[in-house]
Amino acid sequence: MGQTMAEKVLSRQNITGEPVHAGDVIDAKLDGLMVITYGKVRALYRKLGFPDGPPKVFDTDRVFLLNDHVQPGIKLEVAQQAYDSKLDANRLDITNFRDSEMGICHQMMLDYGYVRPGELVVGNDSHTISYGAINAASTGMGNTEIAYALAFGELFFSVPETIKVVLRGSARPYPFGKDVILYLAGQYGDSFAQDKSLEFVGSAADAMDITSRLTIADHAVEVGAKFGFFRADDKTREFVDARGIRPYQTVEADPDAEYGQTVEVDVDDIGFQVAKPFRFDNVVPVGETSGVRIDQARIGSCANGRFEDIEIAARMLRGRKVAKGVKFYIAPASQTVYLECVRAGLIETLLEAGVQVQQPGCGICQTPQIVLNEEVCITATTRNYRGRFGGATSSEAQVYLASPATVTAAAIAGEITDPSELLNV
Amino acid sequence: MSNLTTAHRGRAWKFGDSVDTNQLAGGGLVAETMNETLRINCLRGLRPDFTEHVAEGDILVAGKNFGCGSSRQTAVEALQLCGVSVTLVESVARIHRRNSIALALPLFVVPGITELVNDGDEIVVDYPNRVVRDLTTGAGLPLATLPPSVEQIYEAGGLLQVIGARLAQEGITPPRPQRAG
Ligand code: SF4
Repeated sequence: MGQTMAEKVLSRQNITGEPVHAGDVIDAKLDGLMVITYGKVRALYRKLGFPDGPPKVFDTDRVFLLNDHVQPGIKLEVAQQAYDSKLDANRLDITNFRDSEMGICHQMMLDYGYVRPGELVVGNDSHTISYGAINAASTGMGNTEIAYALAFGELFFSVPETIKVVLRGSARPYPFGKDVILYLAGQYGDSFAQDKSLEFVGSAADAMDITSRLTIADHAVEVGAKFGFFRADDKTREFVDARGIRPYQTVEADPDAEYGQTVEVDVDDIGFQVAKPFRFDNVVPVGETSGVRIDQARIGSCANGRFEDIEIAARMLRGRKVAKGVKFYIAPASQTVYLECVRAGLIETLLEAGVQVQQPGCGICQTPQIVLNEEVCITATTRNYRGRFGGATSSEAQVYLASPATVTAAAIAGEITDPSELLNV
Repeated sequence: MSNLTTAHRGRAWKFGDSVDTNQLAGGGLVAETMNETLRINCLRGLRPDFTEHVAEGDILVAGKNFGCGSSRQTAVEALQLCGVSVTLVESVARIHRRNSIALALPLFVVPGITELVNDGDEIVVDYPNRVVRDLTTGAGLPLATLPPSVEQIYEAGGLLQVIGARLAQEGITPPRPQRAG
């Protein structure tokens, strides 16, 4: 019987060496482990009686210890966490350690070539799944599982069933990755891939750049998926080779692989999409939200903080201004992305238009001004759940999700609007 | 609280679909300790009276896609701090399911549970007999058997205990506390 991408990677990594199929529960060896919020992992070892943190790691080269999420450490616990992680990286000989760097862990995993196609990689953040864009089987876990994996380099997996998502059409130049995944969520619901693996194939998937693939793979978790694969092609190889990544073995599904379901979408038909509050699947075509007045706009995060995302905003804002009364925040996903944007002159354009450029990293999900219950925000970030931008005390704040183009158009108009005109479609 | 070998009885607190980890472990109110902050914000955005009235041993019932969103282990911890003894859901987001196992908070996927149970009903979750019963209405539903690897983690009291045991097997034990003088 043929195998899906997930079945192939998990067969390769299965501790017993047996080939696996959907439904099997196995222990698998990890190729890589990304660890963030290290203080919490370390605290678990302290609970076990190890005052200095973990006594061992499974592989000093395949543990990626990154201090991200809340940088710089202006809170004591964050600064302490960075300090402790430096001590432990030293003591445990962890070669790939990034100390308090302003960037999103997932972007750093890509920028620094820590993740390779065909690998099984786990991290303690749900958007670890995004590396599927470069053909890796990657997924998020909680801190205790990460603490386990840190010492032993293995975890139990139930081998997932796979949904094949065929993206037809050209996907050029629009809609964007964000519109595609929002459309899928709107059609099939925010748990349609619960516990499943997704394989994105078809002409539009092939035509997409890595940035759009990353947006889609990142959001695979927003529809419940365990993995979200794209095939490895020349673009993938160019991307990873540019980062000097060592030998890797890409993964391809067999022609006779068994799929639980096949879903087909012609992306040329879907247009721009918006997720209304408070769910990722509360999706409508942009036209149905036009005229909704906004107070805040954001672009960034592991979903939409890459050069191509920011370039769209800059292109649309050239010679224009952010509407009066709107706060428009944009944050590059990492230092590397920031530098690319600076070199291309994008940051100057954004500042001239009145955008508040934020430091790179997860801050775009946390530090721009809280969205109050009375306010509306449109954002090209990851989530529009209640209280996402302010916690339980601002659970009525209206957060809309959309692509960077739709967000930028709204920031210029002061209300949600179809971006086609500004994009010169 | 953490084992599967006894029945749990408590009041049902019922929630809808797609309760995300922001609702379970989000910020908002600030208390003195981190645990207390977690506890007082738990589900507050959806139901402001929850943390005030939930009692030790109560049972959470929710719809589809429970625990979606960020991979917050604190989402499970918040429920445990509120005293929740079991979670029964129509379906669950995978990271939240794994976190519940790792922290040994029994969680069962029970299709039809939101039909069976009304908010405030008295219910019994009896894993040894593979059944959940609504004592208020007398109706019941079966519980599925968990995979052996998952049962073992619950039996150990959580994955942390498994880490300790495996390290000990490798001859790695915590250092003895130094005596003063
Ligand atoms: S950018 Fe936002 S969603 Fe992405 S990892 Fe950081 S905090 Fe999470």
